Amino acid sequence: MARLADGDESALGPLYDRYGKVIYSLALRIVHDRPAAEEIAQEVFVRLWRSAGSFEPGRGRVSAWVLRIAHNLALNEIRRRQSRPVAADQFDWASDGAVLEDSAAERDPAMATWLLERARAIRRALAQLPEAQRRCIELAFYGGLSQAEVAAATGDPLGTVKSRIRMGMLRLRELLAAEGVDSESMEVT
Amino acid sequence: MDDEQHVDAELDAYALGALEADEVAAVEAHLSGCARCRDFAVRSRASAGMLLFSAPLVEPAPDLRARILRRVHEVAIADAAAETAPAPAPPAERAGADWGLLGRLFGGRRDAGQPGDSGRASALLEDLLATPGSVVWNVAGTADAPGAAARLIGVPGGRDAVLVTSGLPHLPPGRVYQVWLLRGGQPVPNALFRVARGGRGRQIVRAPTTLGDFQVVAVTPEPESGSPAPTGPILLMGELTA
Repeated sequence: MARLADGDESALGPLYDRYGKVIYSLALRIVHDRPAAEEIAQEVFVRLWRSAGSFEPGRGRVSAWVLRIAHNLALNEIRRRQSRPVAADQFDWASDGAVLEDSAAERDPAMATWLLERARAIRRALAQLPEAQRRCIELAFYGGLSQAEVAAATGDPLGTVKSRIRMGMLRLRELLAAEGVDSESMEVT
Repeated sequence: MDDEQHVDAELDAYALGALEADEVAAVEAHLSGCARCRDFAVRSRASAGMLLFSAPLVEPAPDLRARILRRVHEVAIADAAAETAPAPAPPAERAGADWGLLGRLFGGRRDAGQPGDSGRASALLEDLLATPGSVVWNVAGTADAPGAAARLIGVPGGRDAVLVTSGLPHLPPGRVYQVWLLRGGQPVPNALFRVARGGRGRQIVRAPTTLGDFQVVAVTPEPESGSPAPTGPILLMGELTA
């Protein structure tokens, strides 16, 4: 990041090798459209190039920083399209692209391993949530829906949705702690 | 503040971005005055941040990397071009009175470019920006000129480049800036130039061989006739990496 902040374009390739796939995957998870996900990934790196000087290492990991940008861009895209988000377990990953979990030959193996292990642990934790709680959390986070909109989408009372999100996030924290995932390092403001 | 007013029940939804605008405003108003809830908000934000990593990894198109790097390069070039929007002409050029002096100064040094020849520099810059393989090299201010910065735009296989500066200090009469291209650690004298208000300038740099033969570009203040070897402190310096 320091090289990028100094205007060194050659620093971008290694950053893509580290984060490009996880950025693209997050965008695809939200927009369900490969060209749109590619556009979002491209925009993330343009913003990274232009904003590298403002990144403050003490405030979070680079990965969380770029993923936060990707998340915001992807939500903006689906809001622009007003497309209906779907829960992860309803999306046909096999038809949309090869899931990489065990097959990627990364150019930065250490970072790839760290990301893969973290992603697996988080998904394991999510999978252990009661389905109704997980669905509410995913509709909010991946779909950009408010609690009221989640209630409208699921047909559940608003109070029920609020309770499911609150209880689900509480349980998720417990599960992540049990997985040994350090959530504090993910905080990016 | 009593418990009834605390907003911890809303903080996970807040961190997920699942509150309506009026709810967000109420939560943020509370957070501004409640350290207890701010602590909980940090925890909730961290938990929501974990979800950024939860998408199953999917292989992007094989050429996405190249497309992204190409796009960023285009952006870098465009940004550099934007920074080179016509600057106020140097005082010598505006006044016209110094043309004779400049002519004497730079007579016989056309390869090194001429101060005030911003039209040629602008035309060359446009050509370079449109040339495939053009590169924007970052040239940073040193400790002697921390507010200065520049970019050198050229093609590694070519000889001509344009140095775009900003923030260089105003020099006293009898002093000009001189560009140096370093090859094997040895400085080779190049263009002399003055800067306009804000230390802004555009200067053609013509290398004696291809730019790719040089490893470093630097700028020092020198006597107005130029120097065969640097005598002033280095104010700008950048590596000419391929």
